[in-house]
Amino acid sequence: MPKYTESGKMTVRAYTASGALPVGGTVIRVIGVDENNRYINYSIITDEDGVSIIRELPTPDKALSLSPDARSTPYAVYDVEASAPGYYTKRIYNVAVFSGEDAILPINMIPISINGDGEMYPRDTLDTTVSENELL
Amino acid sequence: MIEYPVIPENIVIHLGAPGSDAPNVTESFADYIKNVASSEIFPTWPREALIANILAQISVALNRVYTEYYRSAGYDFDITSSIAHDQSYVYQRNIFANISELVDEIFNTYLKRPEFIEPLYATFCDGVEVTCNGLSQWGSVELANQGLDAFEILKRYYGTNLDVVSNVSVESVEGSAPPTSIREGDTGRDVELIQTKLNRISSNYPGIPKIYPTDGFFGESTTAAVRKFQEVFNLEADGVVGKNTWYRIQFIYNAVKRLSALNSEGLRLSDLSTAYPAELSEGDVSAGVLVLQYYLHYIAAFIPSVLDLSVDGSFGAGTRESVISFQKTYGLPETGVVDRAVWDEIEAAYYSYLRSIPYRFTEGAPLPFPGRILRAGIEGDDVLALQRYLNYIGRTYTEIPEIAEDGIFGPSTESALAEFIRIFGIEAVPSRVGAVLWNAIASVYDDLYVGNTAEAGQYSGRVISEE
Repeated sequence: MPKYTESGKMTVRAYTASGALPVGGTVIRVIGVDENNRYINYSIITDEDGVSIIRELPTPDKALSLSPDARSTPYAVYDVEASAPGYYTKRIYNVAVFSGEDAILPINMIPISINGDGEMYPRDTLDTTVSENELL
Repeated sequence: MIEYPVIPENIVIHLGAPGSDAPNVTESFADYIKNVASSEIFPTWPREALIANILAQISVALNRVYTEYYRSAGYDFDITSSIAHDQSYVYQRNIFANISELVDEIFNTYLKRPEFIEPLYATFCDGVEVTCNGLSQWGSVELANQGLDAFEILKRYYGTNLDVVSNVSVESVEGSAPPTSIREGDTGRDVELIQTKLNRISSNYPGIPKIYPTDGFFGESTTAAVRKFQEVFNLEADGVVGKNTWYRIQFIYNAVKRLSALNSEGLRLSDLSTAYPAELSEGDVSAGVLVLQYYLHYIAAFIPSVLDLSVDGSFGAGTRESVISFQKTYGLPETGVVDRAVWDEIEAAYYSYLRSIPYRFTEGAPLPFPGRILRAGIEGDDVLALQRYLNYIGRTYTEIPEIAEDGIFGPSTESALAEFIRIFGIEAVPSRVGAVLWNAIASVYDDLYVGNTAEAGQYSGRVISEE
């Protein structure tokens, strides 16, 4: 794993109903690990427009992303969890953050649906793992 | 008559190889391209390389849509997320701000050969592990570093017989972005439309300040609203409405209006019975099918893996695909047929989403009946909404007593309901609010609200003095 000598930013926007409504008050947790196995951990709550900004997330050197010869992943990965009352908790793993760039994470919050037997879980819509970039 | 390519409102993506049993999800076209670009290339690359790659990705997608490549083969999607077959797409991944801004600028531009109408299927590959007869991704970085612009880079890989078609019509948007940016000091109809749309958006996004007056003069309050809108939706927050901001305003406005329209439709359909009609399947035409389609149409606004459909009372192939997508999403057998069990699941999901909408976002757009009988002692957001509607109606029909908006169904709420029932002659009792009484109240509220709110362009009665 390369040294995390630089930093990038992450902007999260929690919404529902195809973007017609923001979900303010969503608790966002951002978790990662740097090259020394130190935990990076942020907790923040979205504003009334559903937005939270997490600044200065450690990342590898920008130069690693500018050449195909780089031997290591040129971006940092973070796991993000979004929870709000009345909605399913969403988890997105491996969110990619590059040095000097703003990683925008729109999060589609899904209201909890209940039928006669209890909660109904919409398949494939709650957790996502971002795969490695195609260039790697 | 020849149909030229347009930018579709949405694109349906199969999350796997074409024949695989994977879900389909619906994304807006621009958001799909942002995802592809963020999955295929690095945001740290030089700008001209980014643009060249994005144009190739747009052309690939538009080619699949315009030629109906998958649909004509019997599939119910436009493109796949498989790199072996199409281009990379990772459902719900993060995107990058600079890529997002570039896509917002060029999403309605594509490449083609001069002698063809269809968008070019612009093959590309990384150029190091794999070489191909098309754009080399790493090669484009090298050429950009040498000073070539995007078009020169593209011609290098695709040949000189290459056209760029720009300013293409966008399906869901009337007209196109004004040729020059709109900014503080400008006046006119274009400004007025932006002001009206931003105000409507700000009812749902309260951090965006209201613009007053919406009179077609782009002043400080308009700049402030534009700036905040840009901040929320990841555009450069310069307070100026350029092409990318203009389109983003249209898209968000459309989403906001779509939800209102869903709720109004629910009110209009309120006369129909919502009881399970009978087993419904392809070929049926009935009021029961109409209600089913309305429920699925509502659910599709919340769940990207439920396919949207027309609400026309006729159960055709589109309805069947939508039913299957619902069944797949909720782990039910994918029969495409709606029996009692499936009907109950669909109805339960519909009411869950309807009830999830915070009532503070429904000013001027009352919700249809929330699916539970309201009576003495019941508390909730739906009771609160009812009290708000009654109080609003009571400003015109003053015999209706004003009641505390506390979300609790008590004696004063019942008194107000009794007056409403008497005035409007509804067949109902004030101790129990079911669909009939709820919809009557919501309809009167809606009529009064629309009547009381000046339309954009109407003289507001305020004197504008010259200074």
